[in-house]
Amino acid sequence: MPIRNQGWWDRGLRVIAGTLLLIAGFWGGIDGLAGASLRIFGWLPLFTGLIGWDPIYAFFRWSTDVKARRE
Amino acid sequence: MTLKRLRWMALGGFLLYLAGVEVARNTLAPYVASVAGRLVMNLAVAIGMMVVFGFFFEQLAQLYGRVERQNRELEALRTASLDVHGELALDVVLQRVVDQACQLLNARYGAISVLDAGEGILAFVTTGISKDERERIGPPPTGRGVLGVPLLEGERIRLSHLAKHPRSVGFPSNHPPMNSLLAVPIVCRGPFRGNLYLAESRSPGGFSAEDEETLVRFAAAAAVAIEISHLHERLRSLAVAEERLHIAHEMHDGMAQILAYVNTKALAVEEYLKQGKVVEAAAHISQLSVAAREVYADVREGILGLRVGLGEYGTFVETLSTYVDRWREQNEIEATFEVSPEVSLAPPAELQVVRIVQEALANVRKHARAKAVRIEIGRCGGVVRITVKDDGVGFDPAALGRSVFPRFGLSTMRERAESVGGMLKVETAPGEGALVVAELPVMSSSQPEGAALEDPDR
Repeated sequence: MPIRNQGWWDRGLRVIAGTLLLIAGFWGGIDGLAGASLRIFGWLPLFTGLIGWDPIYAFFRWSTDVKARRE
Repeated sequence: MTLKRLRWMALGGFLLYLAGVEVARNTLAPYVASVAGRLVMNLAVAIGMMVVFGFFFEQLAQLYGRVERQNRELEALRTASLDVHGELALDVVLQRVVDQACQLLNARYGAISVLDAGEGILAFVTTGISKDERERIGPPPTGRGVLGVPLLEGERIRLSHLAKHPRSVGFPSNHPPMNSLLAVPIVCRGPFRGNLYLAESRSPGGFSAEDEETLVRFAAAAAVAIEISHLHERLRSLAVAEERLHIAHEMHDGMAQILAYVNTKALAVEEYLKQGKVVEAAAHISQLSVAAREVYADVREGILGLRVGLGEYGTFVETLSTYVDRWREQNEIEATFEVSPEVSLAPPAELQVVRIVQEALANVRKHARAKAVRIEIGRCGGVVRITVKDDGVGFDPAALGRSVFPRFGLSTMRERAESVGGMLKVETAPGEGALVVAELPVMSSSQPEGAALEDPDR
């Protein structure tokens, strides 16, 4: 599996944000293209937050995980 | 992550990606006719690709990083092994092993203990602890606690908290505190065994599984170095024993012959005196006097040769230099000694070179009537060439049979050269001095044991 590059707060934020975006997309009464976009892109922060790894961070060698950065 | 697993993950990952694109297409189906809808669709495809490719590039980067780390470790291991193998004295080898192991795996403390066949501690060498600290700690560990696992049971051990191990019996007083421990056995084919252990890793996560594998590989290299050192010491003692046999042989052939001659002459003198033949008795007494001087010179030379023994004056070159200086003072014959710096011989060969030069110089004193002698030692291709050249009267080698005296000890010198895989020849003619040439193989790890040189004269 990929090495984690997100700290606990980063992961928490992503999971919360992803969940909120998906709730808004599916049940928030937002219609049209905006609602569809939320239903698609809401999965992204939720998924990356759950596995603790972000492809953008990985590309630029960023990390918000203090332990991984120390090692 | 292995390549095989990565291959299956790549297949599954792309199927998942396609499924995701299909879901996005269905979700955005009513809007794809508009520019904004197409933009969102393209963005979804691009982000999905970024996630999939990013994931696999990350995996490849990890694999590459692991290979790079292993290369660095192997290079460090190779350097450390070369350093260890460059030494032959056992205590120095052990110190280098433990120093290099500590450096290789970034540990604060390290130790190596070697047990002999009777389970007694043959050697115990540490690093990271001063001599005073070691004295305050007391006797070395005998393997009653955790260290008994690698030392007596031959198992490797890796701990992050040493005190939590069930075999832990605590530290003696004045022992520095230690938590992490990595210990591996050293398995030698010789009559001893040991263990190599490191404590207090400086790396953040303590000793890793990779560290353990590295130390096991290093311990295997160290075991070979320890065995070589042990064999080298055995070789030295065997060379000494062989030299004693040579001395006994030479005493029998040299001094014993002259003493038998003295005895015969003494009996003849006694007989002449009984018969009142004083003139004949005086002639025999004169011969006795010459023989006594000869044996006295032989004994002095023999004593000088034995006193200037290997090891006493450093290397064999220094030994020979000292011998030549003293020989020059003793015999008042000009002697020069030259040696090139790249000369390297195995210990038994070094001893034979010293004895061959001593024998050749004894011949110069006894028979050559020379004013000067030149001794040279140099490397010539794969051999070390030793030459002893004098400006004396020389002799006819063809007239020199086994039954003819003097034999100049040539057969002894030749045997000495051949005993270490070399050869010896003599170039001389009446009135032209003599040149003794010995060629011995240089010390080389690639040379097969007992490889002999071709003698062009044979």
